[in-house]
Amino acid sequence: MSIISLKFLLLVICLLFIYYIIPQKYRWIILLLGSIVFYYLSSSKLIIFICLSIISIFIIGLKLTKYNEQIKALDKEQKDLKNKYQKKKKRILLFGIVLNILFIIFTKYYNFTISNINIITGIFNIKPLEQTKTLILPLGISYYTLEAISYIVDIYRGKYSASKNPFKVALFLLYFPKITEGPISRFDELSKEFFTPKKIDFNSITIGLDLIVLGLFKKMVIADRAGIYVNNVFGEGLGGSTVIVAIILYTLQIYAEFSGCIDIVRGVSYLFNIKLPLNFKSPFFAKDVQEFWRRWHISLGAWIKEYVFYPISLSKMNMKVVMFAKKHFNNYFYKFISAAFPLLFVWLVNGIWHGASYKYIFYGMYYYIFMMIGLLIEPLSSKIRTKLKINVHIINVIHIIRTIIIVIFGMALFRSTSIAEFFNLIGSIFTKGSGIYEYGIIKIDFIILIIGTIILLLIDTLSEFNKINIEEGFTKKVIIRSLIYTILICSIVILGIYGEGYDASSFIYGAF
Amino acid sequence: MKDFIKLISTLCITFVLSIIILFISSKIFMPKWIDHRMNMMTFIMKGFYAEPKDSLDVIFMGNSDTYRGIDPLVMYHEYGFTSYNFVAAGQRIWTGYSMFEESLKYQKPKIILFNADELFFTKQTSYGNSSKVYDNMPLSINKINSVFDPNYKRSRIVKLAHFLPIFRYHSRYNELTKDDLKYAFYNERYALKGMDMVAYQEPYTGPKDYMKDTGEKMTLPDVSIYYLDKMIERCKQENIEFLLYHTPSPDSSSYARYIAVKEYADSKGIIYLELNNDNKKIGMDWNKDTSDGGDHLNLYGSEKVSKYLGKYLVDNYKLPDHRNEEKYNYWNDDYNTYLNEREKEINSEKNKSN
Repeated sequence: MSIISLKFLLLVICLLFIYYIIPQKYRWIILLLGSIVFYYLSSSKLIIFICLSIISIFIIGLKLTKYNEQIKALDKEQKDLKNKYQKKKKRILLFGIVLNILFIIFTKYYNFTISNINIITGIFNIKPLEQTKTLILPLGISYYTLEAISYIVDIYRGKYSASKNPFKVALFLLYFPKITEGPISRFDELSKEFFTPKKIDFNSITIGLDLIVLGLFKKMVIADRAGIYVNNVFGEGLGGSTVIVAIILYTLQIYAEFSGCIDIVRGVSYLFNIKLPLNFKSPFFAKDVQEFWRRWHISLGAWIKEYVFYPISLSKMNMKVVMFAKKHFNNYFYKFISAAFPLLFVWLVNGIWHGASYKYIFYGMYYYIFMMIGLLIEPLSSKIRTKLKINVHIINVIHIIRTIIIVIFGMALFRSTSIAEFFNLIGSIFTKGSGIYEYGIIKIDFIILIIGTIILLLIDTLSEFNKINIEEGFTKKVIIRSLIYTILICSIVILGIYGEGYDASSFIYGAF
Repeated sequence: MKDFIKLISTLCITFVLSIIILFISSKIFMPKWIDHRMNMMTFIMKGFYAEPKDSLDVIFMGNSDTYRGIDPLVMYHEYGFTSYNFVAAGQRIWTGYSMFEESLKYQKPKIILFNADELFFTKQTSYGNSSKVYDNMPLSINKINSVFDPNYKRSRIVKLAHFLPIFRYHSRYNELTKDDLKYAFYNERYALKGMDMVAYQEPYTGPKDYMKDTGEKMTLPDVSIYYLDKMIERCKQENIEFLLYHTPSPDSSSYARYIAVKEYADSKGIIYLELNNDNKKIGMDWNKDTSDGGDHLNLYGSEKVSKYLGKYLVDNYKLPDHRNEEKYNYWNDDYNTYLNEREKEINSEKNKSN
């Protein structure tokens, strides 16, 4: 079930009605039931996989909490017992992480895993394993697996205790608006939203509607229009300006679509007076790649930072690397190596999370390389800036443009079907183009896209400079809000890409 | 409470403004088909609503067999009563019923004739056929009932598009012309009164005794009986004569069909005019009077049928003669338009064959 379908709308209306007529303390049960219905209608029997994840992290969470309490109860002198419990805790945690990773390996990453195993077994002339023709893809498995891991790791770290109610854990993973495309949430954040009794808040409902209408506009008017051109050009062996426009439009498409989807997801949650974390914060104002990833898919970056970067940075292995660098290199390289080692894992995880192929690993490495180059040349570029006394605003603009260019090519890699296709695409830029009006959209569509882009940039610019805060709604004035709604709704109906033969359910990030 | 009032006000204002804009844009975005040959269905629908209220004596209902087989202007010219083919291509009985109800909102006819040809078709017709009816129907309880009739099976978005056709035609933003604006809110009288005039001749070469008893048996589908019963009942209440008829069409006629309809008509005490049994009396020439080898009639065939059927109607029912009434002068104008169109059509056909 797509989140921009009439079925979804009906489900939300029904749930809202029931949600607000029952006592506050039971409202989360309606969300859980709605989430089960949504998941079952979207993935039918594959709901079993998310159930297995829920059961596993519920039991493991309880075990970890039990050990946490036992450790707490120990005297300072009982170090041996403490270490014993710590080891047991670690083993349970590892088991939980591995188990949940295995679920995703045997579903989404099955063929990728098999092909890699075959490469290794091929060396020893062992008969290759067969790949499956139809991959099992439980809805949102990439998202809820990260959430499941965060739940048990947080309990392991003593951030909070495990929930004693398996249905509350179930709601955390299953919550229907976010299951398709995130944002990747944490149990402690969401449990405050789900399980704290809340009154009906009409202001929250209004903000929710603002986000939903804006999200639909982004998806149906901008993203899907850009998508027509992109689909007609990518992989077709075209060149020059035709390809350059496709690459730029793909970045526009994915931004409008992903941020639009998140707007809808967060908007629907606001209707239930539930606030989900932000996932985008004016990403095209980033001055470097690191900053871009702090503004783009924020919840993924935050998860990787919390559960990959920190553990690796504090690991014994990294300590050894850091010590080695300190001993053998000067301060400049020491700092560089200290960051480079854990970041390598960060970008490997980022890449592999996005998809089951080497292209995605390369995608992660693409950003890693730019990040490392940035770190390496920073002292030099800093010196040049000081010497030339260039205005800081000009520098910022140059950095923003540089980052946008890197991101646009990164997105082209993301869209390409293979690494080879990406390089062919880049090469084709230097060949002759074949116009831009013959690939599914015409002049008026480009005008609509330009206006749409200006609207997106305007919202981002005003947000960046704190002139508006979408979290507080478009405006306080009824007439202005009504006019904005009318313009957006009529634009969606008149200019939206929908109708027979168009699959409204396909979101690019919905496949993860 | 303040937030609640604000939210409700916002939703109400947005709803009203959006509906107004989408209604206007629906009118602009709907294809206009300036020439009736490109889309005669829209002309039939819009033309019906453009006829003065309570000005029609007879309404012919049915599918393409009617708009190719009945010529209201010939009937007017010969006998003086006014009529209109309020029909739809590939019509199904549930659409026929909604058009029947619709017709009674605007006209008080003395007779309604319903073509029996469609009674045997129960599968959904094409989207284009039904949408041209529902898209052009003004909003009313009848339209809501018709669009949401369980027998009319379409997706929710398609049904919604019948009320706001912008949902279907929104992609026309890149092909709008001045005419789309000019004809957006205009119901033009359709001078041919629901007729589709074609001069093309393609002879029917099948057996001439296609109405002979072959032993085959047919029964009317339940869905047809259901809607026919409703129409007959309503006509009784309104004191309107309800007749079943079938225009000559070797392709879609058989003895079995004739008997099935006749049995139903007899059981209800209504007249059934199976004109396929009267081909000789009508003077049908299957070499000249059909445009597609026996399925539909051309203008020569429809003229013969109209003269024959018109005579039957004036002989058996009290129908007024409006030919000298000033109020109906526009019918004379329309007849002149019809003659011009007829000449053009015949010449065009001659030029093609030359």
